[in-house]
Amino acid sequence: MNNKLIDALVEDLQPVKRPSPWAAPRLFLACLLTTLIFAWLMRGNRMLAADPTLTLWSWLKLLPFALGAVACVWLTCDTTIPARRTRRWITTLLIAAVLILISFVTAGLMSPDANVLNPSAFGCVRSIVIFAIPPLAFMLWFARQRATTHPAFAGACAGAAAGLLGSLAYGMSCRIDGLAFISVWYATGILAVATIGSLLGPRILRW
Amino acid sequence: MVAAQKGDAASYRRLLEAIENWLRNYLGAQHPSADTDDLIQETLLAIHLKRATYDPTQPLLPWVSAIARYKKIDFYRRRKRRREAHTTDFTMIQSSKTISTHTESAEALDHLLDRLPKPQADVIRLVKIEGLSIHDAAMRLGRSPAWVKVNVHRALKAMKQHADGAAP
Repeated sequence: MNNKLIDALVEDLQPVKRPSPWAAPRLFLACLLTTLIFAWLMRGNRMLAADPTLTLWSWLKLLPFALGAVACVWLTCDTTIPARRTRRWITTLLIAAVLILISFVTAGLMSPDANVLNPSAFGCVRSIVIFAIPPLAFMLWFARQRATTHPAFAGACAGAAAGLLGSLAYGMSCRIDGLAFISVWYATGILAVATIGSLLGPRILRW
Repeated sequence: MVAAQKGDAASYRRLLEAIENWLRNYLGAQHPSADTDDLIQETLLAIHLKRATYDPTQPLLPWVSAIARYKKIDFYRRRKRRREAHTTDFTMIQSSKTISTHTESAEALDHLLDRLPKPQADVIRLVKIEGLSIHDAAMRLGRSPAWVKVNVHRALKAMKQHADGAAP
């Protein structure tokens, strides 16, 4: 039987395109643009670019999310190729993002005006999850075209990347700059999307 | 594999034969022979369908073994699910005492097809019942002819096993 199968497979052989080394940057840009456009449509003039009172901190607070998003999109891309080793710079970037976030939490909680229990916390988490839907759908669609051998992990990576992009977009329109608030509630939103991704992965990425 | 990605059939045949031997050693040591054959077929088909994802800058063997491992886990997970479904099925059939009539009627065929995974049932309906060619069935399902052939073979084997198992 296996000889017959090999005959059939050889008969079916067509030249194929190898994975492009530009797939990850393209995926990142596509996801970033999709998220920003979606967030702009949802929030309009409340986005950062339209606000004349923006400060340096308004940008800096987005740094760990931007670093994490880059690393997670690349990681998602890597998980779609069997046996692809995670590149060292991705690990470094992820560690850097986590360390910055931890320092935010520490600094935020030590600050006398820590406002973790702000009433808009639920709205923040909800917005991050909603903003993350388009990039998550996009990344799962991308991963489905390839060969993911760890679907739950790939789904979680795609979810984390989408959550980080959602946080990035939400952070541009959120006027609460408290370190503890940002760290705790943004991280909750990201974890929620990563969990959704890890649950969807085994169902959507099977092949 | 690099030559195969460019469409070189002779290299591809040699590669698949080498991979088949490697898989036989790799999987054969851990599993019963009937499972090994099914797993080898699944893995070869997966390698064929996903050959574009091989990156020539990386070694080939880890790529093959990652696919083999994934297919092995998927194979046993699916079989476990199917076995659980069949157990429920079988209990229901036994209680209504309809086994003997099922095996002799058109309903028996439907019953056997219901027990198959959907892709296998679809190819049997198209190729063996509607009489479509492999190529036409592949077009209809949006799959490759090789995929259809493999699924027809596996469906027939599974149906025979189910029929033998259900016979009084």
